[in-house]
Amino acid sequence: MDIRKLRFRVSGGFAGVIRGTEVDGSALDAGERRALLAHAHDGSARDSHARDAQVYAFEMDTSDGPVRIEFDDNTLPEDLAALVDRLSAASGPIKGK
Amino acid sequence: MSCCHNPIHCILPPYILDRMAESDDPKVRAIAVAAIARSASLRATRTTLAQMPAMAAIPSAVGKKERLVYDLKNRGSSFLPGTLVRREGGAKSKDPAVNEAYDYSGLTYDFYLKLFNRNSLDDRGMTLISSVHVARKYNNAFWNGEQMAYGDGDGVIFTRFTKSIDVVGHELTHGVVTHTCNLDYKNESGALNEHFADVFGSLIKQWKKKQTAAKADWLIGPDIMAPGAKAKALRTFKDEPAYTGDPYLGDDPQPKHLKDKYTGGDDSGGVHINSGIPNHAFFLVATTIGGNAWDKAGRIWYRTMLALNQKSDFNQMVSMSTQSAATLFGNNSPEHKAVIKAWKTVGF
Ligand SMILES: [Zn+2]
Repeated sequence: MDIRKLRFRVSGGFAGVIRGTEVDGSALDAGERRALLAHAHDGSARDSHARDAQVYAFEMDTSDGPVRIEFDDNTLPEDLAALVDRLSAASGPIKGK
Repeated sequence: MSCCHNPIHCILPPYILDRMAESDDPKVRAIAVAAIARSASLRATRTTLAQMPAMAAIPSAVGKKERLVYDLKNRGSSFLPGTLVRREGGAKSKDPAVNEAYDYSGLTYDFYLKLFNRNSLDDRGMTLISSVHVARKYNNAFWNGEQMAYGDGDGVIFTRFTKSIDVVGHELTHGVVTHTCNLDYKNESGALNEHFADVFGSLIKQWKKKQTAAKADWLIGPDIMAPGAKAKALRTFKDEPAYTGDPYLGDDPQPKHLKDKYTGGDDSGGVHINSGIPNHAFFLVATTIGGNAWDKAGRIWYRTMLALNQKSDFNQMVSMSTQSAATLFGNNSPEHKAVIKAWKTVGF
């Protein structure tokens, strides 16, 4: 499966701010792509007991169609942490949808 | 061959331990929970406890105010709670985050005990556990179902999250909600969960500062904003945006009227967004009644919080708070009328 486009959104957290960014699949390095594909079937993995945890959503346009996966501060897999840091730093405020 | 290191757990079957963990006797609860907690790996224990709020509440051995503050030393939340650095009655730390977590969780405990005769989050003396220095430059604080976790902020937009009484009061009130109506954390019920956390977070601050409803700032998080943020707070109960055009935060998304309710899926269906509607209603009730907001408006809202359930929505909040005002202060009393009028103003 090939990732063509990645839309990243952070929402929730105590601040309740929605921020996001969009990158081409070609802007992901091999490790980031591998980590995303490894979790492509995770769906919405959220800790139902957490309150004010930040929610990280990845929407991908792939060669197999659209894929959406979602984690929060308590469920974010370790192999996606560096990518979340990088994309969070590149994100700006966006309108909720 | 299995080897049991815990004599209590060896002797007593799990269902007895479970029942002991829910005992009214704090000593019995302490023994049972300690036995259960020691008997499994941390992750397995947390999974089990998380499914049972009554067990997740680590009871204080003495059944009164008991605080534990841990330092996570900038490691990720999977390492919670971290190293114990201050316990109840322990000496002041050199670390301001540790002292703030300790002092403000104590303040929150005192607030609920003195005003509502509530003995901690679960009303059974649950130990208040805080971890500070969570992750690196972490712009957040959260309640994980068992304890509070506070980030240091990046120093640009946010400073340490323990700095604001209303933030600490907010996080601990999530614990109170968990042990009362346990509102689902999505859509309208989730917005009510956030609403109660903001209301009591704000009331704890007003109570500490001895501010009347007229004098209070009605802001959430003003003390955690760092110099790089244009915003002076994260939320306001008033009918105005808390911030506009902030380079990091953007525009305050909170509506103050039902017609502007957010209907998208971000933020678990806008739990931190749509809380603006009931927040503003509460502000109208408190300022219309006048005096100290915790005296009357706070009592109406506390009673309402206890009466709601997991699935409660805005309409149930409106009817239950109206009913609570009538029960506490009488039908057609000024307080009852203030609640009806406030909900009408925000679109109900
Ligand atoms: Zn919250």
